[in-house]
Amino acid sequence: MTDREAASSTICARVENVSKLFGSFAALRQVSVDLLRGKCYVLIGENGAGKSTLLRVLAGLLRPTGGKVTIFGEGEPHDVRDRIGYMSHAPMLYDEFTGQENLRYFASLYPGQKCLDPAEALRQVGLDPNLTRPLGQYSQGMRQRTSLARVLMPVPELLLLDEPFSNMDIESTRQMVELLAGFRHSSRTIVITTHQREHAAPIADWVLRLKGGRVAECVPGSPSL
Amino acid sequence: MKTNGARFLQSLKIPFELREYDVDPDDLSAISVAKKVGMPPEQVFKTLLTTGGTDAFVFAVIPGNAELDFKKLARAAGLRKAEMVSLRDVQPLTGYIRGGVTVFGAKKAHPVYIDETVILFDQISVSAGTRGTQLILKPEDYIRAAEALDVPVTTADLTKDGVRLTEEEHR
Repeated sequence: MTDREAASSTICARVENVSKLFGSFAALRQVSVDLLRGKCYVLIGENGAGKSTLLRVLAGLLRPTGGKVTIFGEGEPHDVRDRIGYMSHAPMLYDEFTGQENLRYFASLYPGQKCLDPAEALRQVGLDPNLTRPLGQYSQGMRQRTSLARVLMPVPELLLLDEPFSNMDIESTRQMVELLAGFRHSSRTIVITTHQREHAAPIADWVLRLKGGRVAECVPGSPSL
Repeated sequence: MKTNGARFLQSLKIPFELREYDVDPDDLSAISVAKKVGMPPEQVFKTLLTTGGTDAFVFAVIPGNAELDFKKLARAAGLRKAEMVSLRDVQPLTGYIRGGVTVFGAKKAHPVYIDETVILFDQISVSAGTRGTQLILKPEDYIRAAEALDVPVTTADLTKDGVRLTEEEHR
């Protein structure tokens, strides 16, 4: 294996000069970032800075207006979407179902794909799979963790989390960060958007500050977990 | 203080606010003006007069905390190149002094190129045509008023690119 091949094998996602326009509004402007395997990237910035747009482009939910995104050195996000986990700001779960019922339903949407057992996915995020109450009666922290369990079921290699700590109490946040630290150690790449930079600090390898659709600053983090 | 810029907007019945600040002749930066008028620097747009050669002048209107990318401006304006007009020529060409340049009520109207981020905000601020006074208005009103000058008005990406994080920079 040449040096170049060895280097490319460590790259999980390559974003090259990516721009995304909504009409004449440039949500992303020529963003270039390499995301390495087993690293956690925290995207910060004010509303409208482009954080969620970049995450959605990485997830293949938005096609860039210009530039190129290559995931796992293989293709565009859409080509490898079964290996990408995307947790949106909204929980995308059904309030009337229990946690396990929700996950069983979502598992049925991945026919032919190896998925974690729903009960196991719930255990991984620290939830009791046998809870009988409907999701509508969960605390915000429990809902967020259920949402994360849904994303983890297909065992994604690239985990994209949009504001995972919003509306969570300190203890729930701490638990989720510890959980994510475990995924990072298993060579998965994590990208988190957050307004609460301090919450993600224990796992942040890099902090990218976005501003006006551009990466204004890249600062190495000092992860402690 | 009523300025030429303010009078021009009034003539078009465009709503605006005038906000005054204390001028420091040693620091006329847009970032400092932004602080004084209590707005984020990316919402306080500076008006730069540039030239693409003999008698080819264009205004570049960019966020206070950004740097003009002359190549991008030249590309947008169809010029071979663009550069700043020398400081001593600014007043003869616009009627305004540095720190007080605005596209409205200038001696002669020139094409206006506005950084595309302008539409991100509810309100922006530009100089009212004199040091110490800023106009605050909606970006769509700013564009509408600029168009009333009967010159081409274009929004485009005009500022320097951001930081890149490549594989090599991880090391």
